[in-house]
Amino acid sequence: MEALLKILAELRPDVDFEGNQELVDSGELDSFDIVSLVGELCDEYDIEIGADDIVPENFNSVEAIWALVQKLQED
Amino acid sequence: MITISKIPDGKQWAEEIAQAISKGVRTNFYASAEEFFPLVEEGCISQAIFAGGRYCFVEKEKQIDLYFFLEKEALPVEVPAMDKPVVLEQVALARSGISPAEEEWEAIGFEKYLQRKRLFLSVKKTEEEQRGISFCEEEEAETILRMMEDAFEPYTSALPDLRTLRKDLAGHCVIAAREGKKLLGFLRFGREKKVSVLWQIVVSPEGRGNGIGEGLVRDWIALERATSVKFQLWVREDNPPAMKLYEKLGFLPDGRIAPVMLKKNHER
Repeated sequence: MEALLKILAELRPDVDFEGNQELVDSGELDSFDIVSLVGELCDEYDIEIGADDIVPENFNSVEAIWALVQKLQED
Repeated sequence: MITISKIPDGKQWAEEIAQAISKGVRTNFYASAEEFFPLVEEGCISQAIFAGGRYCFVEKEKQIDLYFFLEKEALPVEVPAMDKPVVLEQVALARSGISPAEEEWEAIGFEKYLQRKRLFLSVKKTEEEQRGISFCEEEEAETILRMMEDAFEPYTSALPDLRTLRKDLAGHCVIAAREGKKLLGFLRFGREKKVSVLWQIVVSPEGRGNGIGEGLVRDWIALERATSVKFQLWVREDNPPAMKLYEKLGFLPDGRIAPVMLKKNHER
């Protein structure tokens, strides 16, 4: 989780992630962020994020992103 | 040299692109492939597949936009000569720069063209201001488009077509600055969910130096602050007066840059 928070803070230092449940729905994370984040998460956690998982619900909050990472690590 | 071919099956292409992105390739393609379906149907997109990656070429009126999908260690390969300039626009974090690096693109004939940086202003940092705001009218569409074409570089300024502009005018997304009936400047904005985005701002030569640009930006903020979480815009780094204006109004860089490189094959 710490590594994830570091990736997010480096990617978007201007966004307040804490408690934010609509990162994608509000437009604060855009498609560039998602594509960059997918690349970083694949590297950091040695996972592949399938196209079906690249949906707003999985990126709307830190908790949702972390849940996605954990799910893919278990697969 | 790579071979360029038309895309035979748009659905399969979209699946391959999604798969490449899910594997974390380096790319400057941030849209979803489905958004490009109409262009595939019209035959405006072609591609080249090579060891370590893929290029997609989108033909436009004045240029060909290049999108790349490169595996981690793969280097860009040379793009064949084309009859229009090839434009490579990327978005990157300022602190880490683009990947592959500029030198790797320069090695295959691309040159630096310009660079923009993104600025933002959180609504929390703005204050309510009462302003008399006037909007451009639909019958001014052609004048506005001409002013945009005179003011902006031709390849990556995201200028609207006439139809889109008319829609924006009808939706009160183009704020006007006038002296009497004469249009001295305008600001076109849009909304990306709860982010209000400044697309273009133009002040005519005779209106410059009178605070018209600042007035338009203040109008935009006053108009959009109730429904937005932040304001956002891209500014060219070689435009210090614009940068100064936005900084004066509280805008800050969010760490995002967009370098544009160009390959002028057609002049060879």
